[in-house]
Amino acid sequence: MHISEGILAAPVLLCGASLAGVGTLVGLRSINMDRIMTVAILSSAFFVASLIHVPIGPGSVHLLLSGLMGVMLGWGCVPAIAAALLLQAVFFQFGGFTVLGVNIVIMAGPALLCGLLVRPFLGRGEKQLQIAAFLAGFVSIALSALLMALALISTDQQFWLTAKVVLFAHLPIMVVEGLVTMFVVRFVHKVQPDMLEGR
Amino acid sequence: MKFLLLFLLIMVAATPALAHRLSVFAYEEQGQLQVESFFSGNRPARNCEVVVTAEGSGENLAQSITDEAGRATLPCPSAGKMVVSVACGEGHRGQWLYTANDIQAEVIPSLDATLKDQGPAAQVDESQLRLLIAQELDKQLAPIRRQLALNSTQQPSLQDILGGIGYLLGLAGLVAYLRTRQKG
Repeated sequence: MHISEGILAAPVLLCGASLAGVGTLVGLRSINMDRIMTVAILSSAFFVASLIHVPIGPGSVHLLLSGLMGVMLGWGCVPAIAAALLLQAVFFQFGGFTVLGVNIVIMAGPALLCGLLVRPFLGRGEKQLQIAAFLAGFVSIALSALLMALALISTDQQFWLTAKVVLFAHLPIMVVEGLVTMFVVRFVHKVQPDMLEGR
Repeated sequence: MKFLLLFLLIMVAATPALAHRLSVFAYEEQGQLQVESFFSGNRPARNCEVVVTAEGSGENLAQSITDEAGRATLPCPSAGKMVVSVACGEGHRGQWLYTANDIQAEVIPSLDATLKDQGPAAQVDESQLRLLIAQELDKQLAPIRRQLALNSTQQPSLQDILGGIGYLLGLAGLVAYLRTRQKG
């Protein structure tokens, strides 16, 4: 899901960087004292998740956990993902500094959207909670794939072709991500329901 | 919180492999530039465009497409620094800075012809002997060159991973500190 350095055009990079900057600031303001550690730990989970490969079919995929972060952290997921992506760029050379903004938008945008959409359903009983959490994990990856294809329009690649390839490649991970989000949210809801209340 | 920490520990314990990064490396073998590229988990990058450009001027020196094993063989361009970049679509791109070693590429191919002309009892003078040895050495050294190039593609280590987690927790501490100062 990381776009490499030297692919995108300058306007796309600037656009991504400014959106990511605003999102990160809003996110930072929204985190209250009690939740700082939760944000940091989920951010660490995101940072590490990209390293763990699950071979599926011809290729291999890795978890992103963006949907889970959206559900658990709300706006707080933006700075969490931003910090993790920055460190991935530094330590693992995933993406890069100039594309950091765009990569943040690609991963944090859908996470935030899904998190906010799913939130009202969290208090409405076990079944609705599970379906909502699954959808958050599933849809956030799909939207990220679409956003990535959108960002790649600025190169000579055709949008629908790229979108199809990226969506198809991420289909298994959408399901896995949905399931992981569902199980984690259900577990947290049972064990420590107050963790899901953050804004 | 305990659950989250446990979750994190489990993830760290799993075998790390590179994700979504296209690694590229190049080395010289018998006067040819060998380029290899692979994704995370050593999956070869197939059918990707390889372009060699001169560093600085950006002049296009050679181009090719990787095969099923993620390899491409290009004519070794003249001496100097060059950028070998591989693009695989869907936002994947990797590059490798290569400095060509000009002498061997120029001279070695001409020797074979000379030796064949003279038949089995060929007389070899010192300069030809030097070339012959250079050629053999080149063959023998190719795997070592490859291994050296492969080793210098950076792989994330456990230190990197733990360091990153440490940074994130440290950042959280910083945010918490700034918050309390604001309040106080």
